[in-house]
This record gives sequence, C-alpha cells and structure tokens, in this order.
Amino acid sequence: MDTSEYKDLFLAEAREYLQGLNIALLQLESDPANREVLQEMFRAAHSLKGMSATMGYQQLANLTHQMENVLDFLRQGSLRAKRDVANILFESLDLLELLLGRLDEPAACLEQVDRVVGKLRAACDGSMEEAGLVGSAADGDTLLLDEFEKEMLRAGCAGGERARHLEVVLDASCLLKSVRAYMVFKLLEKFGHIVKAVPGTQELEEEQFEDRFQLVILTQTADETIRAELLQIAEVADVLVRDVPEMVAPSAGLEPAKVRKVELVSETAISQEEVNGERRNIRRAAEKTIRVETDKLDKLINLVGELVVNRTRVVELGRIDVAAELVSAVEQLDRITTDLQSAVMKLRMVPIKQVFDRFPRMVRDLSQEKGKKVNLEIRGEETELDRSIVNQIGDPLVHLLRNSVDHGIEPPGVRVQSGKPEEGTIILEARHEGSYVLIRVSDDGRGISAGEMLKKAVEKGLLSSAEAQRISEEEALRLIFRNGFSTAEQVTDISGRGVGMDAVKTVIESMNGSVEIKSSPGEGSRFYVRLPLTLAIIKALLVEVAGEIYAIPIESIRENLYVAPQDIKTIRGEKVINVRSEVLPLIYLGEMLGMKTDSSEEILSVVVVEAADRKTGLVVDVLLGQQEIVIKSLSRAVEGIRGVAGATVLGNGRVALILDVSSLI
Amino acid sequence: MARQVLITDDTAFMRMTLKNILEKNGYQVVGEAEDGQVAVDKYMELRPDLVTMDITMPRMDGITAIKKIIEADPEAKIVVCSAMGQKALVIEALSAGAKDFIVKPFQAERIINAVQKVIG
Amino acid sequence: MNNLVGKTEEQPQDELQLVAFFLQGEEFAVDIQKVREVLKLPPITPLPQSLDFIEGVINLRGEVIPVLDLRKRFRLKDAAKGDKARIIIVEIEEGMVGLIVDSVTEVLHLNPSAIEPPPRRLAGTRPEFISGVGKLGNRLIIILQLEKILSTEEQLELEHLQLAEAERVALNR
Repeated sequence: MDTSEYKDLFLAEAREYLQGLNIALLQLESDPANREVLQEMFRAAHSLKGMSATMGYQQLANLTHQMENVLDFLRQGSLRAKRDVANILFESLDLLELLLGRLDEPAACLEQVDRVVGKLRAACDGSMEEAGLVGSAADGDTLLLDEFEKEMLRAGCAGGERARHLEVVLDASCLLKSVRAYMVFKLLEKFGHIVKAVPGTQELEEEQFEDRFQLVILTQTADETIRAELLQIAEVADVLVRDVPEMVAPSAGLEPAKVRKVELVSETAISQEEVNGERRNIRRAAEKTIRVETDKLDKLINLVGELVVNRTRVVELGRIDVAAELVSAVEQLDRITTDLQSAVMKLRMVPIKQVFDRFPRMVRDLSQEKGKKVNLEIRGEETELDRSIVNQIGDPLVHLLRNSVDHGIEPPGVRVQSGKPEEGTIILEARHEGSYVLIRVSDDGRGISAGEMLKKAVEKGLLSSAEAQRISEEEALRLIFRNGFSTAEQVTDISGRGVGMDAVKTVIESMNGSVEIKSSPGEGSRFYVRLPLTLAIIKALLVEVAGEIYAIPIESIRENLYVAPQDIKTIRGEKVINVRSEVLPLIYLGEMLGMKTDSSEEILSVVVVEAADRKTGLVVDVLLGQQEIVIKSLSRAVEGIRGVAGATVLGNGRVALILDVSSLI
Repeated sequence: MARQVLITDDTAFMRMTLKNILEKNGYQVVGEAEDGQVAVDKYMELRPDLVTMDITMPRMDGITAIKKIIEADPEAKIVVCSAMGQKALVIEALSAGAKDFIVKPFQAERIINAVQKVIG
Repeated sequence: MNNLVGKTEEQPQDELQLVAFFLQGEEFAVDIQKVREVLKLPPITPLPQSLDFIEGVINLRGEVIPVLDLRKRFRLKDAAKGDKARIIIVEIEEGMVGLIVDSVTEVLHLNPSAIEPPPRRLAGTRPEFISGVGKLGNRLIIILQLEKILSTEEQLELEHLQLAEAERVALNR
C-alpha cells in the first residue's frame, strides 16, 4: 500500500502520542502506582505500534511493541515502575522522537533501536522472573469498572438481570466502524442496557479503535440470542460473550496475566471523570486541523449574515444616492467587517499549552543532569494565541528555560547556604495583555548583575570602557541579547547548537514581538516575551519603489525622514546619514531589490528600520502611509526569497510584497 | 424463487454495477429507481424483498424515501448505500428504519454479505 | 473480487484531453487534469531576486500565485505580450502556478496511440519538460509535463549526473 500521502498525518499524530507519553511518564514518576496513567500509556504505545506497522516503519513498530510489553507488565503490577524502568522508558521516548525525525532513513538508527529494545526486553524478563510468568499475549484493553458502574451492575443483578461482558470484533476491512458500533448499541438496547463501553462512546464515535470493542451490559436475554442477533449485523465478524468477574474482587494486580483479562480497580466515579478529561487528551487533533468551539463558529456565521444584509443595503442606497444614509450604512458595514475579522482570527487561536507541555520533561532532564533541584511551575497554559506563533515560540522558550536552569538556579548546596530553599523554582506564565500575549519566564536563582555584564562586555570588546560608564542598568542587562555576548560559556552543551540569547531575540522579533529582561542579583531573573496575538494581520507602512508598492511591517520601523542630498555622507564607500548624532547606513531599496529606479527626487524619503539591534535607512521613492494588511504566504514554488517575508493583496486587487527587514539589512 | 431487489441510485452506472453484482449472486433485480420519489412509487408497486437506497439524490433524498417506505410498510428491508464521510446521514437513515448500510466504492463481497444478513 | 466504482462513465478512459496553446509559433499542450483555469493577463507584481523565468505574482481571488513566463523557461525569444497572451493556471506539486503563453487555442482530444515519445531535444526545451509529441492531422503538438517546471538548470544538471552515475554503478555490478 502506498502510504506516503498519510505520512504527514502519521507524523502529527505520532508526535502527539509521544508528547502524551512524555507527560504521562513524568506523572508516573511522581505517582508510580497510578493505573490510569499506565493504562493511558499502554494505549498510546499500542496505537503507535499499530500505526507504525501499517506505515511499514519496522524500527518504530519494533520499539513501540517492546514499550507496550513493558507497560503491560507495569499495569498488571508484575513490574514496578522504579526509577531504572522509568529511565529506560524515557530513553525509548527519546529514541522514538529521533526515529520520527528520520523516517526516510530506515536503517539510520538500527543499533540504537537494538540496544533500547534489548533494555526493554531485559526489564520484561526481570519482571517475568519476579512474577514467575512466562510470555503473555498482551492485547486488547483492560476493563476498568468504577464504583458507579459496579453499583449499577450490583443493582441490576439484584433485580434479576445478568451482567455480561461482550467483545465485538469487526471485519478488518470494515468501513465507517463508528456506524457499526452504533448499530451494535442500537440492537443491544432491545435486550437490556449498556453499562460501559471500552473504548468509551466518544472514542467509538470518533473511530479511535482498531477492530474490536468491549461492552458491559445488563440483560435477561440468553448469551446465544445476543450473539446471533449481533452477528446479523453486516461486518460484525465475531462476538464473545463472557461473565463479568466477581465485582468486589480486589485490585487484579496480583492475578497472573491470562490471555484475556478483565481488571477491576476501585475508583470513585467523580475522580475518574476528572482524570479522564485530562488524560484522554493524549491524542489531540492532528496538526493540520483545529478543533473549534461551536460558539466561535456560530458567532462567525451570524456576523457574516449581518454583513451580507448590510452590504445589500449599501448597494441599494448607492442607487438612490442619499449621502447621509449611505455614510451611516457604510460605517456600520465597516464596524461589522471589523468584528468579523476578529471573529475569524479567533478561529486560528490555539492554547499555548501545546508548547508548554513539553517543558516539564525537559526541565526534569536538564536539572537531573546539572545536579540541580528545580520545580517548574506553569501558569496560564490555556492562554490562546495564533497557531503560527505557537508553532514558532517553542525554541526561544526552550532557550530561556535552559538559561534559567543552567545559569539562574544555583546548586542545592549553594542555595541552602544563601538561605534559600534547596529546590529552585522556575515560573513559566502566559497571559493576555491588550492585543499582546505576555510570556514570563522567572527564576529565584542567582540573578544577573549589571556590573558583571558590563565588565564582560568590555572584555569581549562589545563596549568601550567609556561607553560602559554611560550605560544605564537596564541597558546593561539587555547586553545579554547582543550578538557575540553569550558564548559557549553561556550556552548549555545540551542544546548542542551554538545559539545564544541573541538568537532568542531574533526569533521573537521576527514574529513582531519583543523580549525584555529584569534581574536582581541574589533574587533571580525575569524574562518578558511579548508577542502579537496573531501574525495574520499586521500594521505596515506602504512605500513605492520603482513603480511597485511594498509593505514594511510597522514593528521594524523606527521613524520616517526626508533627507536632502547634501546630508548624505560617504564613509568607506558606503552612503550614510547622520540622525541625532547616530550614523546610519543607507540602503537604496530599488537597487537592493534589483529594480530599475530613476528617482530624480530632490529630497529622499527614508524609512529608518531596525532589526537585530541594527538601524538602517531605507531609501524609497514615495511614502504612501500606514495600513493594516493581511499576510498571505508566498507559494512554495517561490518561497525563501531574501528580503521578502510574504505578500498581501491591496485594496485595488494588486499584490504587494511584504519586506523582511532582518534579511534585507 | 429468487429474492427480489429494488435498486435506488441517481447514477445509471451505480445502478448497473449493483445490478450486476446482485444478479451474479442469484438475486433478481425487479426495478431501478433514480430518485427517492421513484423508489417510493416502485416499492408500493413491486413490494420487493429488499431495497438498496442511495442517500443523496435529486428530487427526494434517500432518508425521506426510507421514512415514506417504512411508514407504508414497517417490515420493509432497506439497505443504505453511502459514500465515506456520510456518517451522520447513515446514522439518520438507520434510525429512520434502514436495516444496514454499505459504503462506496462498492465491493461485491461486502454487498452480498450485507444483503444476505438482511434477507438471507 | 474488487469492483471499484466511482469514476465517471462518460469519458472513454484512454482518450487524453489537453489544453493547447502557442509559444513562438509552435503548438504545445498540457493535460487538462492539471489545468485550473485560463486568465487574461492581470497586473503582475515582480518578485525581486527570484529565478529569471518567474515573472512575478498575481492575485487570484485572494490567493497569491506565482507566474512563470514559459518563453523564458524554454529559453525562447522574449517578446512583448500581446492581447492574446493568457495565463494558464495549473496545479503542480508545489501548488498553483500560472504559465504565461502567447495564446490559448482549444481543448484537444487525443488518442494515446497518436502520441510519440519525446525526441531528445526540441525547440530549446529540455527533455524533462516534455512527455511526448502528439499528432493530429498534420499538426505536431508538444505535450508538456509539469513536474520539473520549477527546477533550476543546476538541479536538472545534477539529476542528469546522478542518473548517469546510477547507470554506471548498475553496469559495473
């Protein structure tokens, strides 16, 4: 089967499972006996195995198969989730991630897979010796009944009904499996009622099951009748009817694994509901889709309705030519259009949780490695922002957090000596602030001293000592973002890449955001990242060069100037201007873009732009004014052109290019 | 005597395919309908053992037709033919009284399997 | 048993439908399956520092679509674009792309038996761009394939080299 067209979906889904496994494993570490988590992990590994095998990724299938075995032993209780087992699982997850990144080189990680699979096997073998078990066929979902369900079964049995455990197997080639499940439900309602379904009705409805599902029902009908009736439904391949084991049995952890097992664990109905809501999310919607609240969509549809009505009104009025009324109608049209725009933009918003979720694991690993004790506190993970920003903000945040663990938080001994709790705290917080999202990364570590920053900057030749004298404390701290300031010493070896804090700033600025630092020596540091809510609409200055219109994002513009030719100086062959005793290089945009310009203007229009702490004057033909523009991406066929960030469609229907200032100067 | 079937689909091609498959397996196709209204009329006239019913059709859709047929004959045996992705419509058709469904593109085995389970 | 159904029945399966157009007096054609629409030349916004055969971008109902000048792509003589010039919007792997041609003539129906494999070089175009030559009466129609239409000369040369290398290795086995 040709699976290439499913690869993107596979990857997106696999990464979600991986993310979910990472989170669950962290949870398990602090709560090794948590069966819910184990169950969830087992399911995730099982699904990954199935997906990988379908796609023909043998390495992945092999690895996840072994993980599944270990997890199965864990959830049966025949293996304990001790630290070494957790570490093997963490190692497996890392390898999984690596494999997902190298799907096209199936032979690339053979050795690593063998090694990790070996470790997983050893863990299983150990457990089998411990429990005196020989190989167990791990398959299918275990049935967990909560107190409420058990109570229902007890009541039913007292009333003369029998509790039956059904396993319904569908044809492997069955299409619209959810509808088959629906037919099974509908039919069973004739015989009694359904107490529980595994997987749950939601998953059944979303077709999140393979070829089989299990049901617990209360009925007075004979097993054979039920079975025969169910088999009458097309594409139902088999139906197994069994007893529901003794409902008051203690946790089945000690019961040896059988071919099929039905496990019963005490849980109160409420807590299970709570827990499920959280955990069932291991599998979130695939990357390319966004789940949208119906409220948001309804609002959009209503607004569009209003817009259409009003547009018609404007058109009608245009015929009658009543100026005053026309004006008010146009105003209303405008207002609704604005609302519509923001409603549509909300459809693109996703919670920042998607990014934050990977940090607990990262901070855990990093602090373990560095011999530090760190508690990561996450706040405001439900804060929503544009998905394109969410996709890009990960790396800068990784870097800020690494910085905090590496250089902020002191080793436990040092902390105790300075009267701080042994465990350091890093707070990662997101919240809305006007049309921006503010993300704060703060730690209670050693902080940064402005004096030391200055000393270092002078040592590295970034500042003269005279300059260092004049600089304010705030500016001194900001030096951390200067190119060339954070060197290997500043960069954790774990990143493996020589990126410093200057890269953080560059990425954030490329999203039209900003980053600030505050710090008090001895008390800790705080980084503030401000990001626009959306990247899809920006304010831009429109300029004309060689007859074409270009848009420059407002965020990178410092000011507009008119410069007389005699004010242009030449330094080392380069044209510069002097603005308030600051010397700025001049770039003739037309030349830069390779366009023919014959500007004979007396006075030059100059847009002063700034990116990566460098200011430059762009010479343009005409300044046309500010406007909100909708960013359209350039086609894949022509993407990656230097100096061009994208395009927008102007009011007259023509396309204008949006300039990417940072790559231009 | 061979079991009698009425085929409902708005494309002649689909009707032909279904007809071929059914006749090869010993069923007798007694009628063809190109929309829901024709299906209802022909059902009343022919009283077949089974009706296959497309969902999206001009004039009268399959679900309305199922409701009308079941209203007239609660014992009528109807199998829905749907495309992938019509989950909600299939469920609606089933709750309107259809006995089973088949998903396009058709595979002879599936069709026969479904038909056999409904009328033997 | 695998009676897959779902194709429309009107078209005889093997007949090809092509959109035919002229470039410097020669007749070319592309598979109609790839063609989204044909437009008169709208205003084109130039793309600085892009490949020389990319004329710029246009706005097609709110989408920004790159446009190639096929004369430049095939290294034909550059000429002013007349009234009859059109943009054929085609769908290729990279997305939608417009192709500027001198004029669009008609939709052709061609029997595959009337199509011959491409000669090695034709009208200055690389063999990579041609899937075959169709004969219709005394007309010769160059049928384009669009997969490589955006590749640079360097990429095409590289592929040639790799192909040659692979053949060499295979022969040495």
